[in-house]
Amino acid sequence: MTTIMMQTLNKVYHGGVYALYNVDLTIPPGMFGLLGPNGAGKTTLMRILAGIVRPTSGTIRIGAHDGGTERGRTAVKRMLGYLPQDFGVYPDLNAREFLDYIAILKGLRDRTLRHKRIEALLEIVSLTQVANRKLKTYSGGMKRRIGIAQALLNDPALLIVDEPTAGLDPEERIRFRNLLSELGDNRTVLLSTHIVEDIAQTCQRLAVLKDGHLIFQGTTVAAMREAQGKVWIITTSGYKPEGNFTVVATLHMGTTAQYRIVGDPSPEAAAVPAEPTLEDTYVWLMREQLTPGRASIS
Amino acid sequence: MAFERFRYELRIVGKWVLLIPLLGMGCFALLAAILTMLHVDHLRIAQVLTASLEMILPLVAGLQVATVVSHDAAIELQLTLSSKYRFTALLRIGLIAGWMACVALFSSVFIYHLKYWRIPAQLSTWHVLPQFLVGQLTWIAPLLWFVAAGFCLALLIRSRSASGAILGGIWIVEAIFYGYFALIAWLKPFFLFPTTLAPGIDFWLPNRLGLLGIALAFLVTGWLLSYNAAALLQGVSGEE
Repeated sequence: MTTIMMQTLNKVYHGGVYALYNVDLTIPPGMFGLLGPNGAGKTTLMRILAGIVRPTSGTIRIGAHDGGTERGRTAVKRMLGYLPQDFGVYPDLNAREFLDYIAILKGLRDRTLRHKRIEALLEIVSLTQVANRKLKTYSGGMKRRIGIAQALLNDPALLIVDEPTAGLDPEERIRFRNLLSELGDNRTVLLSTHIVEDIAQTCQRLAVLKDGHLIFQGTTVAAMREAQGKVWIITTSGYKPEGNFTVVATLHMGTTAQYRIVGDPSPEAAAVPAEPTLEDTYVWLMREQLTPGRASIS
Repeated sequence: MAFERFRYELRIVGKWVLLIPLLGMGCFALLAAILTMLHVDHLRIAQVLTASLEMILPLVAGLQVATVVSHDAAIELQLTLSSKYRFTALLRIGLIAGWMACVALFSSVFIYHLKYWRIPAQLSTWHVLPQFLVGQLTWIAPLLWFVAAGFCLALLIRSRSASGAILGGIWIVEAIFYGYFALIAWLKPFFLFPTTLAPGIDFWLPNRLGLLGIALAFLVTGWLLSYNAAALLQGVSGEE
């Protein structure tokens, strides 16, 4: 089981823009969620962990390996399964051929073992029946499933999946989440997403990024404690309540409307306190954790 | 495993990489046949056929390399694999250049046999075998030059259309202003098509060797550029 440790990790792009700013993060074995809005720095963090992008400064250890050295990055790549956000496939290969090609690149030399592994993974992702179809005929969900199958070819100790459920229908999303949960039993799985529900359903621990800053890390329970006393339900005769809060849900019920809000309602609003969900907590963190904005060197 | 890897790389670069040079040479053979039937001057037909090897195939190879290097559908995944992507890119370039070389060599045997080969003045007094073998530099030098230039440009610009436009621009300049390349001393090492356009020059062999040297320099530069994995991701969406 692999633990990841990052200390004062920075990534500065051309123009002096910080994609990551002094990130101190420890990722224990099991499922771990990385949450944040688009542009928060999640993909940069994932790419640094996968050894594609080099950090500008800071230290990173993945298991026993130093992610700051070429040797360490190569060692990490051998134990890594990675599903990128934009998972591109070679359209003229079928699923079996694609997996076989990636398996060869991952160094699985024994042909018989390789083919056995491919068949087993096709079964896990329920694509055996269509494995001889060219990948250009696959739907988005099927491509994602092939993506997870290729990530598991080398039975990785570390699995990184970047926005895996984006664009999937609800049924596919549930299937994908269950699959990831099962995989998290015996390895480190880092799930990056901006879909709060995916993390709420699969992870016990998470980190939240905003503008390149790490604004929370801990358990989902601890995260929800942060928003305790900040989530309210206001019922009105239809008008939208005003105040220093964010409306996270609206339920119209004939002559009345029920608003679920995160923030501080005015005393005359007759707000009733509610138990925070992870989504409420995320909204609260985004509202209250005021980062200095995207840091810049210039 | 090596054979399977080779087969997959061939599938990934695409059938067109194999077909285009074959079709191109087929078209030139047909054109030569028509010109022969029309009793066009023998020297003109020889020039057309030499141009197909010296001017057309190398340009096509350069464009194909620029396309293959600047676009890989699974580039982000490739960069996370323990097998280095730069070796994969080099293997694909080798496939393209190797296939072009096969087509060119096969065609040159026929052209030479049919006496349509334009022999550079420097080689005209040589014996048949060394003349034929060294004469292969007619296409080898520009082929490697365009392949290496396509490799470098694709990694520098990360755009197949921009790389293709630059290669095409160089080709046009060389074809139109060849007189300057034949006469001005410092331009001589950069003369890409002397066998087709000015076979009488007295620096044909040094020119060929010079082009090979430049191609080697381009290849080394491209190899060094391919270490910058982050640049290869340009065009793949992702946050900052």
